[in-house]
Amino acid sequence: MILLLVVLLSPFVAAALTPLVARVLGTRTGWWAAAVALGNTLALLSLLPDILHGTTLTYTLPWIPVLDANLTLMVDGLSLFFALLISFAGCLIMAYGRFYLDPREEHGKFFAYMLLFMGSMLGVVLTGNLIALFVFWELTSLSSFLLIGFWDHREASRYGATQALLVTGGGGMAMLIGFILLHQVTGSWDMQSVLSQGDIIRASPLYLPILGLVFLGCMTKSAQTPFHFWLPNAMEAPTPVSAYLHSATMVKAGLYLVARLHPALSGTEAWVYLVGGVGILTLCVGGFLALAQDDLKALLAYSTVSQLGLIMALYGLGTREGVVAGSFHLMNHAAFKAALFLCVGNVEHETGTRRLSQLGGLWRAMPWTGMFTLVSAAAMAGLPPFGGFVSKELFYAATLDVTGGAERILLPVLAVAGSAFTFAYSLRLVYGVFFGEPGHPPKHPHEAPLGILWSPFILAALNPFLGLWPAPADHFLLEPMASGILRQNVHVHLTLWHGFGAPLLMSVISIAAGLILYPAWLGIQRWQGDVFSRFSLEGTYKGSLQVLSRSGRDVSLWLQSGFLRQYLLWILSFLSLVVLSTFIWNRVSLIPVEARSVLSYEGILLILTVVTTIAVVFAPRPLPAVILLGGVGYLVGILFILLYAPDLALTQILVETVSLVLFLLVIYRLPPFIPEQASRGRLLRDGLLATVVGGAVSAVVLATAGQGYFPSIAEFFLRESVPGGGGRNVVNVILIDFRGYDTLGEVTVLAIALLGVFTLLSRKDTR
Amino acid sequence: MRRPTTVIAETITQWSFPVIFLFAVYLFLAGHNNPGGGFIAGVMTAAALTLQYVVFGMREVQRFTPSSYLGLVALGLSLALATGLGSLFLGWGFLKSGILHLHLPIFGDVEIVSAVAFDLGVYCIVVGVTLTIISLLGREQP
Repeated sequence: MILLLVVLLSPFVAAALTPLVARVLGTRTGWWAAAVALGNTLALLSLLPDILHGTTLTYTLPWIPVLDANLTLMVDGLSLFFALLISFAGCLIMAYGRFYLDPREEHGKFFAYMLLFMGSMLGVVLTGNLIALFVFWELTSLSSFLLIGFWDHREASRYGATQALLVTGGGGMAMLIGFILLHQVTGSWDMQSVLSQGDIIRASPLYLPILGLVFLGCMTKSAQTPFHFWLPNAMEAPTPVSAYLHSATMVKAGLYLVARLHPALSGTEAWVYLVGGVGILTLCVGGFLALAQDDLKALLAYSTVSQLGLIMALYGLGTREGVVAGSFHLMNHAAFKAALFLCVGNVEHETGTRRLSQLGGLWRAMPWTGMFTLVSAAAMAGLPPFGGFVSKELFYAATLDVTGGAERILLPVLAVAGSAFTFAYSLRLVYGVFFGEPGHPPKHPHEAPLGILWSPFILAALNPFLGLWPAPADHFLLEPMASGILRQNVHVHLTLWHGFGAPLLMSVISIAAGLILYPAWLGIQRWQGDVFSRFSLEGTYKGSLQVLSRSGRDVSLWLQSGFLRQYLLWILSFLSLVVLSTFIWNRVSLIPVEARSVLSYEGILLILTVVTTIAVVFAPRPLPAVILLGGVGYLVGILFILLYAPDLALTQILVETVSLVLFLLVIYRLPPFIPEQASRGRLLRDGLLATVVGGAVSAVVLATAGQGYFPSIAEFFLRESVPGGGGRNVVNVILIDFRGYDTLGEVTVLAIALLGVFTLLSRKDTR
Repeated sequence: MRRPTTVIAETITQWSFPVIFLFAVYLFLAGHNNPGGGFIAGVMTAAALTLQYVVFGMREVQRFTPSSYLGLVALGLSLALATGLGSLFLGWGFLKSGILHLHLPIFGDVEIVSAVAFDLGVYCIVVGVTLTIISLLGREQP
């Protein structure tokens, strides 16, 4: 299906074109981005009939077939749902962003980043290759970094952006290791093949490391406790970014991967305890923290953490009911949370603040925004007749289904507790902003303009739709999605009314508990700072960052002191260490096989070379030392002539000449030479090092001269020189043909070194 | 500033420069079958220009060299890369040599190998690097 490739690539191409488009469209660039997203949504919808038939669409673009590294695209119900979510939410939010952003902002930059993110995120869900998935996964981290830091003049934005990148990127690294282990076990990078080998993976001794590492990536991406700290800091981003990346899509990548790898990794106790345990813990921690926030976006961020924990917990149960409930809640969450973010964006846009302590009684001034917030918050709190109610009932039912010991009681209790928090903070959000005492916002509040009202309207309107008439979502999205996760046909029948039963009782209890908790938020705010900071790794994050930068600086100062002799010391000692240890380890013989006696004129030449070399060391000033060094070079050149190597000799003598002149020019510019009284210890150290390096290099020469470890490659070059390279001078043919790659690299290095020389010598303050 | 040189040095340089340069050209052309090649020819040319510089100064060198030495390096690098990419686009793989046999009226049978262009790139880089360095080092002290 070439259409898949088009869907995947179009956001990237559009992102690259956006700067040009922005020149023409200016502040209307948002329409362009939204149009791309809309096109993608429609293209993806056209795939729905195939998916409903249970087909899995694939498209493979070979890249390095030998390494099994292909750009494989794979679409089943799960991928299609996520891709639709990404495109549809992207369309609404980018249209919203067009009006939300101030006309003075850089619209081109913003929407280019947004499209880049959209492409990366589509890549994560559409690819069917583990390596490609990892690449797109990290691309989403990168584009999230750019978007959080969009207002880069703010310290907090830069901090939040860096933190998000390091935390999610670090988790991504762990995930990559997990993928590599997965490849070790299954022998394939291909998702379909990995998924079909679930039994082999679970039986493998590497199962636990794989699960742990891959899940670490999911935890950081989906902001699960104890990595949840980056998400509130990421709220420094413009609100459309928070709505899109940090509630609707990117933070769900972790959930996507958990769902995707369900057939391969789930079905063990470790899965239930790890994924389910982390999820239910995050549900409670996030809800608890959300309740006492003053900043509306921080409240929504912790609420997102909590809701992601809920979905994670449902996937962690490993049951069919858990998967269905989790997937349906994921749908609901995307609808109500994106709507809430956009509503909060409206409030901030019109009042100039998003602090609960400055807001209140806005219902009269902003009735539409208030209405959308009310509906979405009710869905979040799990009240009928909204989709959130249905998915919460399913959640309760799924927790009651668990068999086992302690968790049989603990799980429903924690579920109710988490939902009570959800109810309480939803109440606080609606009541604190729109009812009660009027606040004192910086701007006089009035209703938001139409441009930023209709996106939250559409998103909020989905909630009663999902609750009252769930059949279309059920049939067209949920069933294919659950079938994609479980890789078998799943039939679901969703209804708003489940009848009287334990789930309804739990709902009533959680609402009652929420009503009791709500007035207590001020008290909770006082002490939760101390207690709950321990559940977060933010302190560890800051500490390790400090240690890293300090030790990085120390190590580089120690290794790179700025003195040439220091660098030479390190390089030469390392060289000797490597060479000598290899030789001693492998007991290499240093006696050449084919030795011949030295001829008399060769002997004289060698003695002359040695004497000149010693003279270089004892030369009193740089100038004679340089000239003597040139003499050594010429003597070696003559030796090459005697050994029948005209090319080498020619090169040696010419290079020696030119470099001698250049050397003299350098000396001319150096500061006056001051003879240094080196200490005895340093002389000893340098002398020892020189002897060791000389010994090591001599050892290499002796060991390689005619030992015959490998068949000589010379035969090949001599044979192929004329037919392959068209030349009888084998040396030259090697240089420009057989090893042309090397030469190209060398001349490139030469050019780069020249740029360094140019920069250094062009400086005005040359010493 | 005019360097203090002798008439002997100037005369020898005047006469030997063309000879050295011609020898460099010979080395370049002969390189594929006899000792020589782009690198050696480049260093030989650089040596001739260095001699010119030592005796007559930078201004004299600049009279018959391109105006931008870094540009010469860039040209050489592009030429070398283009040779490689050229064969790649012809479907032979990067840097694969093409050999052209020609029968010319005066020279007789001549073989032209595509690697000559690569060699020319190397030549340009070597000459350009040396010229850049001597032009920078030889500037008058501020």
